[in-house]
Amino acid sequence: MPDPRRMDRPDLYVVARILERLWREENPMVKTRLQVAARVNYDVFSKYLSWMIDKGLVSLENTPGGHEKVVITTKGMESYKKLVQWINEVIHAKTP
Amino acid sequence: MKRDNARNAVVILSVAWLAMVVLFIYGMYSMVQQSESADPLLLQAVKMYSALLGGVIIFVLSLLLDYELATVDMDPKTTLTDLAHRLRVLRYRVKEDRNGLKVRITTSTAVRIRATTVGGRTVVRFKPEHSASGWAALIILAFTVYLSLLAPAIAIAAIWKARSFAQRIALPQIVEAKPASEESAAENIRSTLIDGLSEGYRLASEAYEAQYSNYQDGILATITSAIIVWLFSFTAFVALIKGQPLYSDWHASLIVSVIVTAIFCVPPALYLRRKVRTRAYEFKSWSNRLLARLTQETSSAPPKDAEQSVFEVLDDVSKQIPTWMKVMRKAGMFTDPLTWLVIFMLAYAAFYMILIGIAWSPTDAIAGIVFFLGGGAMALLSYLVYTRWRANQLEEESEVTNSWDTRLRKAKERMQNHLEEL
Repeated sequence: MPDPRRMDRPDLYVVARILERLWREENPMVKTRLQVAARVNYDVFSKYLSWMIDKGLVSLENTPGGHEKVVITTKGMESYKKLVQWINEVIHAKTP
Repeated sequence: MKRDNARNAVVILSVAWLAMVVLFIYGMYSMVQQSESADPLLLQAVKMYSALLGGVIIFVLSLLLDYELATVDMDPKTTLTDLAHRLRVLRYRVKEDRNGLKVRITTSTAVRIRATTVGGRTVVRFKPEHSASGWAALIILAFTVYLSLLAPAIAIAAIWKARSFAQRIALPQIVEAKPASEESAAENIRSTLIDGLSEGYRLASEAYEAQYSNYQDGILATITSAIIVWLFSFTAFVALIKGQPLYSDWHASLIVSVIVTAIFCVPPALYLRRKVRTRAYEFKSWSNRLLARLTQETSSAPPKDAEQSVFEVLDDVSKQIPTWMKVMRKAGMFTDPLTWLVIFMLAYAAFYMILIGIAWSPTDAIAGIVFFLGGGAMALLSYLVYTRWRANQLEEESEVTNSWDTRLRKAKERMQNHLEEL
């Protein structure tokens, strides 16, 4: 697993993409599917996933089949909520 | 709706309008019979135009009256915000401003919904309004003068449409739906995404309509110019070759005038098609794209893995908004149809009064001078209203475009900081 400390400035769009995809999914998501939704290569995705786990935005769950699945946490949900509220405020011409 | 005031208004205004139609027909008859009448010319005109004036009063009244829809316990702001969201979920184009909500219900009709506090409770009221297309149709009617008597009928029909929308669509959303404050975090995210997509869809659609209207106006102006250029070049060529062998051959004059017209009018027509219309289609494409995402979001359809996230779509929308707003501001009819109606009416009244002044001067010099002066006053008023509107428009445009980049940059910084400070 790459070192999460190497991610100094996460790309807003990649983080938002991952959080939005997980928010939409009712059940925990297999990593490879999430990586397709994030539209980044596996190395970059792994880096982001580590960073997001480290920050408490997502967590990993082990399934009986031995696969690790990703699920959004309450903190992740709240963070994504803030991001969409702020972009929505811009669209509705409200000063951020 | 405890008392159906809207229905009563429709009945009363319809009766008044029918009375005006009868008066108009009587007025017309008086004008036709004027040679046999002993009344002065001015009185004959008063008879005929009083019906048109009555029609204008009915029209204005129909736009001013509003009707009670519901009384609720939530505060006015929350009531309207929640209602705006629910109507967006139903894919209505909702505009929120300081006067409440404006909901477009058909291509020509809209509804204004307001909420005020009365006796500690919130009273929600509605009134009909016209969309930009509706105002355009009314302005065309106003230009025909006599057909403007149809305007009150259109306004009465608008009250009926607004009443139907208010009762069947808006009322259940006010009294039955769950308040937004009771939504979970996940539901709140969906509501926010829907609000953003809906607002983007509204702005893109209005930008398309404004741009397409500009294109149509341009085509109309080009066709008018083509007719004038052709007439001028044809008569000029005929005058030029008078007495020469070609003079008897009308084909030559026709061909030359068509060539001259083509040289002058084809390039602007091509420019309009390639630039102005293409740009309109770009806005249409944005509008379709946002409607598709809005439909997907409101129906809770599962996302496609390789699809752009709604957050990114909204980010793209936020970058497009200054362009869309600029286009809308250029098309005055779309941003402020009422002011434009006033400008058109005043200009037309000025033109008409001056024409009457010219026509009446030989027979009734005093009436002629009165109409001349009246026409001049109308023209001046029209010019003043236009210059004031234009100054405000330029000021607003400058404010929006200057502040938009800062607004967007600050929002991005705020988001980035939020992620970094987690």
